[in-house]
Formats: sequence, C-alpha cells, structure tokens
Amino acid sequence: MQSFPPSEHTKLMNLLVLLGQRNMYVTPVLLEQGYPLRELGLRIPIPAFDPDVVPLPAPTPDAGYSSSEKNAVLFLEAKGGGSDDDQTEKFRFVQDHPKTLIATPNKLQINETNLIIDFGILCTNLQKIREDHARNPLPFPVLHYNETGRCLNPTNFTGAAFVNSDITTAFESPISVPRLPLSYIPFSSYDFPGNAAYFIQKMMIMVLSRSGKLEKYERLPPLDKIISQEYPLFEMLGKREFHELLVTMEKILTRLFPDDSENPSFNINKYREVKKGKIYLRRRSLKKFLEILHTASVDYQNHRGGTRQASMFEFDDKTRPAQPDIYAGIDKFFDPELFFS
Amino acid sequence: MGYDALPKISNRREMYGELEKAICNISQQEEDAEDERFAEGNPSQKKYLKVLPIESNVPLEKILAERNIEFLPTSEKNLKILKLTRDKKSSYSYLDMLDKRFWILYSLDNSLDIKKDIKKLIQQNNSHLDYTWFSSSSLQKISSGYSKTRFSMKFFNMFRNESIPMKRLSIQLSAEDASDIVENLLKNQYIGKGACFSNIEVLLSSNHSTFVKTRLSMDGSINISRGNSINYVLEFQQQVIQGHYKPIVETIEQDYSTEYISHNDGLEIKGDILSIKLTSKLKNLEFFTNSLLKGTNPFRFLGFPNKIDEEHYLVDVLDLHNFGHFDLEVFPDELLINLPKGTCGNSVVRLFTLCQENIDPTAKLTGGAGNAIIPA
Repeated sequence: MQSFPPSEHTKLMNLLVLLGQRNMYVTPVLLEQGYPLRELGLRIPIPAFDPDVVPLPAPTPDAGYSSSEKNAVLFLEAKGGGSDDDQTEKFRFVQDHPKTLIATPNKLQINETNLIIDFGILCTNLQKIREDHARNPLPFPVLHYNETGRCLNPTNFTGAAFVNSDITTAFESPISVPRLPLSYIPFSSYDFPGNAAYFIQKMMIMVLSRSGKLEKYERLPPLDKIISQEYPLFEMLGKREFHELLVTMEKILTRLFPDDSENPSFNINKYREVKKGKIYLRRRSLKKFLEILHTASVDYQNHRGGTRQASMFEFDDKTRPAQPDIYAGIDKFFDPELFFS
Repeated sequence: MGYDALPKISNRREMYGELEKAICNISQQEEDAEDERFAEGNPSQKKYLKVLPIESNVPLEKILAERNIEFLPTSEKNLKILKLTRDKKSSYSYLDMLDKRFWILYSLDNSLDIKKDIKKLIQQNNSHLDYTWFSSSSLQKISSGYSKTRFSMKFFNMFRNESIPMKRLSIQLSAEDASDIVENLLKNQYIGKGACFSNIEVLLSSNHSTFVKTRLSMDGSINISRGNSINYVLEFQQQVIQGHYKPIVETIEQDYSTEYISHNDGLEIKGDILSIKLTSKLKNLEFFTNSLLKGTNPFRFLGFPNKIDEEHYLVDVLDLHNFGHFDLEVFPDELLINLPKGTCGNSVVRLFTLCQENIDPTAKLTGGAGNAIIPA
C-alpha cells in the first residue's frame, strides 16, 4: 500500500489546532488559559512596514489565539525547518505596533487599548532552526515537539519569553501528546509536490463527490471552484502553491473525461452509469478506475520528481541540458487507453 | 376474511384505518403456527405489517425508480401510494413523507420482495437514499423498559479481531419475556464479546386489551407481528425515528461536522471530529482499510488509503449512497471521522453500526471531546 508521509508542518498544524480546541488527545492548554483558537493563517497587512511595496507586506502566522477578557493575542508559527527572516521581522513589527492587528477584520475579538501580542514558534527540529537562524536569532520563544517522546516541551532555545505570563504558565511543563491525529489538517502545501499522487487522488474524490450532487443537466464548475467548495482547506493551505497541481488535474480530467464543448473541459456524469448496483465510468467499474488512477498518479509523481516548470527555461543556463515540462507526462500516464480499454 | 394486501387510500386518516385493520388481521393467526414457522427458520411466510424508514436527501420527484415502481398521488401532498408490480401483479404500500428527511413506508408485501425493491431503489446510481442504521447499542437502548419477546444476535468477525473468540455468532431466541436471558448473554464471558443485536422484538401494551408486538431491526425496519392498535405502532415508530434516530443524525451533522470557513485573510475551523472507540485493537489495518473501501455492501465506501505508519492510516472516503466524502483516520483502537459540513450524517451512523456488527459490538461513537453520542 502506498504511503504519503505528511510533512512536519502538517503535523505541527494539527498540534496547533489541538492546543486551542476541546479534544481527546492533547490538553488544550491555551483554551484552558482562555485563549481559544480563532483563526488559521490570519493575513495581517502592515502598510507602515514598507509603504512602497505592492502588494503590501502581510505576514500570515499559522495559528491565532486570543482572549477577549485579557485583550491578549498569541500567534504560533509551525516550523518544520526553513528560514524566513523577513517574516520574523514582520512578526516583530506587528508585536510592536498593535494598531496593525486591529486593522484586520476583528475575528480575534480584541480592542486596541492595552493590547498585548505574543508570538511563538513550534518546531520539530531545533538543530535545523538553529542553523537557519544562525545570523539572525529568533526573537520569540520556541516550543519543541518531540515526536518520538510524544510531548511538546518548552525550551530556552532563544532565551525569549512570552510577554503574557499566563501563556508561559500554559507551556511551563511538557505537554503529553500520546496521539497526534491528522484529521483536522490532513495536508498542507509543504506536502506538495512530493506527494503529488496523494493530491491527485484526493482531488478525484472531490470531483466525483461534486459530480454526484449535480442536477441531471447541470455542468460541473471549473476545477478550482469544485476544490474550494468541497475542501475549503485547500484554498487556505496555499491555493497559489497548488496552482500547478490544479492545472495538472484539469489536464488529467480533460484527457480522461472530455466534454464536447468548444472550450476543452471535462464531464464526469456523461460517462457514468450503474449496472446491478455497481458504478461505472466509461464502462470501467469505479473501483477499478480508482485503482488504475492510483498506479498512474504514483508513476506520474515519480516522473514529476525530476521535472521542472517549462516557463522557467528562459532563465536557465543555456549550457545545462533542458529539463522536460512538468506537464509532459500527463498524456502518457493518464492515457484513456490505460484506463478504459 | 383474509387481509392480504393494502388497498388504495386517499388520505392519512384512511391509511391509519387500513393499517389497524391489517394489524388486527395478522393477529388472528394462531401463535402456535407462528412459532412453528419461526422454528423452521422460515419467518417470511408469516404476514407482517412492515414499517420501513428511508433516509432521503432529495424530494420524491428526483428519484429515478425502476419501471415496476410507481408513486400514486393521494389527496395529501406528502402521502403517496407506492405501487409495485411483480410478475404482472400489483400491490400497494403507503409512503408517508411528513418528515422530508425520514420517509416511512408501510407495507404488507412479502418481506423479501419489498426489501428487494427498496434495496434497488436505495442502491441505484446516486439515489441519495439510504436505510436508517440501528447499532446494537441503539437497539438495546430503545428496547430497554419493554418486555423483550424475541431477539436476534448476529456478529461476523470480518476483520479477524483476535480479542473476540469467535468467527461468527448467530442467535435467535423467543420467549414470553426474554429480558433476563438478554442480560445473562451480555454478561457471558464468551458470548458477551460478540453479542451484537440485529433485531429486538418488544411488547407494547399499557393494558390487557390493546397491545402490539414490534420487531425493530438493524436496518430500521419495524415488523408488526401481532396486535390491535395502530396508535402503539405510530408511537413506537415516532419514538424510534423522531425521538432517537433523527436527533443523532442531526447532532452529528450540526455539532460533529467540520467547517473550514475561508476568508480573504485567514481560515476559521468550526465543529468537531468524531471518534469510533474500539474496546479491542484491530490487528491488520491494511486489511481493514482495503475491506472498507471495496465499494460493496455492507459499507458501500470507495476511496484511497494513505499509510502513515503501521498503526496509522489516513483514508479519503467516498460514500456511494450519496457521493458524499469524508476523511477517516484509522488507528488500531479508534477510527476518527472528519465529516465536512453538509455531508450526510447517516454515513457515520452506518459506519458505526457496521463496526459494531463486524469489529466490536461494544464500540462507542463519541464526539471530539469525548462526550458519548451513541449510546446516549
């Protein structure tokens, strides 16, 4: 059975949810201190940070918790590794200029008077963070998720402390994580393109699901709309990053289920029928179709691993051998002959 | 005079009158004869009034029925006559759609025939129809407080759960009052582990003159084998569907589904995930997930499993009943369900009921923070 291991970021995102929401797995220490989880990926535009830049600088910390009573906010960032000094600077700016945060739609339920903003980092690999931030040490407290030891620990890694003492209290002892479910956030943009096959299969389920909800003569909406509606998480977790994936999937669907309209498109319902309680797509049982799709998408993922975006070629060194277009394998791996003959 | 079939009716009042006549007529048969048939394992020969709930996510007009099925009008918009034609013979049943989500079909047709036709209706392409699913714990809860006159237990250790020392269990028992026997079987060290109820018959009576014997099965069907009061039947059916089942499905859909509300500036998570807690551990998760996703009865799910590690699978599930989809996370002792807002909660109840029947009769369905939903 194929395995698509989730990224460290995906795991940490689930932990971030559990810290601020009632659940059976992890003590929701932030909720218990009066900081429920309010928002994931809150975009905070900060015009004053660099007024000449368009679009505006806007850090998006992974999880935002707030206490209306205490008028306090905590943002936690999930870091599986990777440096982003620029983002750190922006976080710092927001922390020093609470007015910036008030300008965002007030889902945090806070006001400007005496607002205190905390930032913190959740990571899985302290060494990696140390290397990434060797030149500009992080100015925020770091919590370490030890997956093997199954706990979330406070650290003195940066020497920084939370401004709000109740948040320090929440994290002063190790928090046991006997089981970390991934149901809340099953994927993130960090899982792509490594797990391209996983996403192709997931999208296929969404498209099938949507096709089953259509009226008799209703047409399927464009793929990005289907995905956004069937799985709003997709949009939040990096619609821009997933753009290449959407184009890939659209090409696959158009190849397998072509529509007769002027603009090349796809149509599932046109090819779906039921015989003796079994569902068929182009006379191939749905179960068998999904099995073939699984194999094809894994093959494509392996092929895709060594390819690059065609549009980047002009910037490449001409002396290097040209790399194939990432979409080039679609016709081969998703050939209708393989699926339906 | 015999009363072999239900006649046409034009309104609900007439329907109740005809149903009461049907129950009284059934009761005229000798109890001994009934027991004889039961002992011979051929209960379908006996006439029952059947109450068959159907969970629907679409209006009747959108149902694509087979040619032998017709829906005839009555003077009431939400009451139809279901005309079934088999071997050039027609019969009538009554379809009450007072509750748009949970329809009730009343029929005197042969059990196998009517169930076959309903199965076809439910399992056709994208029907958006399903059975109602009563877990063993639900059946026990509903029947508590009544005299149990008959029950069946059926357990199939489909996923080779080693902590249950049997491959199959099938028990059928009738008695004047089998309540004590039920208690003893549940406590039995061997049988108790596989004691999964597939139906329970109870006696509904508040005095000696009026009574009804009703048998509630795992698929929600209620068979009335004896009695003289349609009121008891209606009250029981109300209690089962409106009082027990509907609140469970609605609670799942409203409180235990997840909603990711995407704004231009971030994302809000609402709702919660569900957990099916097993009291014993599943040994072979790969076999379990593959079996679950066969696309065939009883689960009728398709999808893709993703093996995170030996004891952790993440599964994309497509429900063939209604083409809804949800994420399922499988651990040896727990199944987590992330049901997207708007997806049918009946899929979860079906999965849970079948887990009790095929993995662990003492499995529990709980909300994200651990507060039990079934049994309440």
